[in-house]
Amino acid sequence: MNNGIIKYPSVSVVIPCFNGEKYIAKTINSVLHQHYPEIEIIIVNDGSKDSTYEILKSYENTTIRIINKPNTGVSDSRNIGMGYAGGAYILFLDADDILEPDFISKRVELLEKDTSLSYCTGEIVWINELDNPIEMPKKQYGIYENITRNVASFNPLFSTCPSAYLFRMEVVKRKKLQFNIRLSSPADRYFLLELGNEKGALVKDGGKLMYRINTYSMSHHFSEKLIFDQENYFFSVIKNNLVSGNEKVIFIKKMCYQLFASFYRLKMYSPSFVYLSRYLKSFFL
Amino acid sequence: MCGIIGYINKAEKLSKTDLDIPMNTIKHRGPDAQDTYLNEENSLILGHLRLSIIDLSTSANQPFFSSDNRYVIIFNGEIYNFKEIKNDCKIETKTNGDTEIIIEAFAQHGTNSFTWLNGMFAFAIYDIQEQKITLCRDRFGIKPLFYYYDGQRFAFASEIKALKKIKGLDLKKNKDTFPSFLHLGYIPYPYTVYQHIYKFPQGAYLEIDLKHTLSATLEFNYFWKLKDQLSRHTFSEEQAVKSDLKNLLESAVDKQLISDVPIGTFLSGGIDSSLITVIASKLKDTKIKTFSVGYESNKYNESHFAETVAKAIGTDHYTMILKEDDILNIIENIISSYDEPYADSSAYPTMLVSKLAKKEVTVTLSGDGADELFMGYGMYNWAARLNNPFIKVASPFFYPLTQVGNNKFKRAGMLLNYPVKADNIKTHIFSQEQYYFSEKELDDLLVRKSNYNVFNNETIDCDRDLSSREKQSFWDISNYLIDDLLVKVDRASMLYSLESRVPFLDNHLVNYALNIDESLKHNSSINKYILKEVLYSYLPKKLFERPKWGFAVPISKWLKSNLYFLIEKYLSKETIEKHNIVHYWYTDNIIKRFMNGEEYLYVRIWVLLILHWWLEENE
Repeated sequence: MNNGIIKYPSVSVVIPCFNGEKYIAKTINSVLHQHYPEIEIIIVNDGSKDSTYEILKSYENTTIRIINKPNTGVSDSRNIGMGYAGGAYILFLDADDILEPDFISKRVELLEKDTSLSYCTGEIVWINELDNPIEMPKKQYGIYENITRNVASFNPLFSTCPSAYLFRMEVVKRKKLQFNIRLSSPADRYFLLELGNEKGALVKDGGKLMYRINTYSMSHHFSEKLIFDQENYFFSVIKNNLVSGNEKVIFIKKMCYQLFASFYRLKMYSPSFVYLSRYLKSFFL
Repeated sequence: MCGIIGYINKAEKLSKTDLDIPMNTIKHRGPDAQDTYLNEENSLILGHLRLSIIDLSTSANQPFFSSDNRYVIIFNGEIYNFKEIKNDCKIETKTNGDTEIIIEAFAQHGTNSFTWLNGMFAFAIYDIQEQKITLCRDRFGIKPLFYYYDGQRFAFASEIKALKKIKGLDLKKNKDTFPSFLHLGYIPYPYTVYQHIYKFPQGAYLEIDLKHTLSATLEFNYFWKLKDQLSRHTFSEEQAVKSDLKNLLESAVDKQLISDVPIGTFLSGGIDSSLITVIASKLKDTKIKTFSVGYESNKYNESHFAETVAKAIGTDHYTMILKEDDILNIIENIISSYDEPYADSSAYPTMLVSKLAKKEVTVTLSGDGADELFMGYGMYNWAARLNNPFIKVASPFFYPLTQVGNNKFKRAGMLLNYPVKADNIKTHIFSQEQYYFSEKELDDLLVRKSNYNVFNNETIDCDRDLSSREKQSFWDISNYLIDDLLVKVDRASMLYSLESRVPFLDNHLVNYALNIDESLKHNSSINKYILKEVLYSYLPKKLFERPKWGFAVPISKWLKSNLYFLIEKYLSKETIEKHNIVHYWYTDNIIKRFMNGEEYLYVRIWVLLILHWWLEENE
């Protein structure tokens, strides 16, 4: 542990897990090997049908809590896990990602130093099924001041993966933040938009997240359901006024183009045309 | 399936026998066992009457305690996915029933667990340690739950008749509900005919802390709302929808076939009941039993359709042919069984088919819900027509023209006679499709001018731009289905201690059906298009090529013959003026017109008759 912190504020790590037998042990171990003493782990077993439960059972102790529930999706599982979390900080870790040993300590240090910050994140290394790095996205520092703009504009250098973020619990509670259970893959983006103009920061050296890209993983499988999900995301954001002004214009432009292209790819021409015309119209907003 | 009842009174000490008399009034809901629970503070008493369906042993009797003895539950209903929840939540059980799963899942996860329940239910869980009671009702209100609240005393029960027998409750009538009854044929949520008794909202739960004084208003939390299920985009690819739907239907029926007692289906020979029956029969190894009713008169007799379908599927089929006398015998029941004025005449055949079925089975599956979810009614076409701006503008000119034509024209004219408030179009269409009094007619009929706010016409606020057909069908799902159809099936079947299940209202099936594109529900003027396509993959199409009929009862014919005495008795000048709710001259006028051949008026007469009959019985 780095110097400077005398009393360790506790950190809750919420891990939703559905059929995660392949990687869950690695993920839990990476939390157990953190150079930080005050960690509680809450694992929400989201109705897994594989051997996840047996694996989790072997870990269960006073600091590792296992919640077993029927399968209702990742957002609901994160929310339920949040309900059990008692830490001053909270991390929503995906069941196949891996933390570097100084992941939590670096983040806590930063957030303890500057109490005006609501969250912080850090570098991400993409890994494949065999834990090998596959591609290093370019780093861009200093963009974390305006989270809404980065999420709304789909900035490719800005990661929305929740595993990389440590949130201050007081902020999550004050803003009554919840993952939107109507959304599956865009729920992370929605959550970050709900943070609004809260201030964040970036850990620059170390404390990396190993973010696993599965060739068959949900977010890379192109389907009708996924587009509907994006569409729901688009309308929920607009309806709940999560973006405004200039960001709203950028958001509508990006979303309409994306939806147009996705529907076109699925040969669903009539909605694709609708979004094309909305996209063209957005230039006059 | 059972009966539940509970009473909270902090002012006086309750005793364990306080609910004995109320419980006797709903004994038909649970003849197999009964018991009560009184808390230590003597401020709460819970009662349960059991009809054994799953785990017939006495260890599953209720009130039922959680393994740590902290919680106690009374529960009416069935949870079809209880084994999955048990497995997913790793619950260790001592019984084989669903009650234990609800209470243990609640002990582990609190109110979060309510969204996981797939089935029909109304239950109350009391937390002995925290002195807190939680009441909950399923997503569609398939199982009934009424509550009484006057600011000090709180009571709840499966049927109103039980609440009426709790000592000292204020049973003042709510006369403001009569206009809605005459307009819709039932009293809509959240009201009942009594001022302090309400219908518990569907898909909701309520928490009451007994340590504190009861709050002036009750705060309900919703764990499911229809509007939240409506996605921006709909499923419109026919082949994909057909195959998804088939899978979902088979899985829903399969889940609902779970039971430790014999099971059968109601088979009218129509689309919905035939579909449920053919799937059930495919999934079950043994021959299933099917039940239907027919009438002596040919026009209304569709029992031979049911027989043909039963033969094609290969079921053990039972038919009951009704005579007018049978109805006369049972008609008295409707006033006592339904507790409130209730004018849906299809309740009678439902009661009789339940009586028939009970001789052979304890559980039946029925096809309810499909007409609303898949747009099976003609009124959806009216919703589309009346939304046409040309018709809207031209209707004042059309209306007088329709009134000189034949009965068919006159009825169409009633629909064109738009309601006072434009927002009330959904109840207007429903009411006129069912031949009840329109708002404009009510203005003339009622002695005291009514307050139309009791009509529930709220628009659904969701991400999708709903068509007028969709708006109408979603109104039906949230109102007509819950306050009328499901009430009918529950009370009619429970009267004979028969459990009726509704596979079309399975959680997954509903969530999917709500997002099927309208073009697949109503396709080139075929109603319920996609559901029919699914049915034809099991059974030949020619079996179903005939007009929709349903469980119609020849009330209009009988009102002119054997039932005429009811008009003389309950719609006499003396009775009407005694209650002073409607004008006698108006009533007399429609009776005369009906006798002179305006057949479609029979429903209006029927609804007036039921109201006055009910008032006479409940003076």
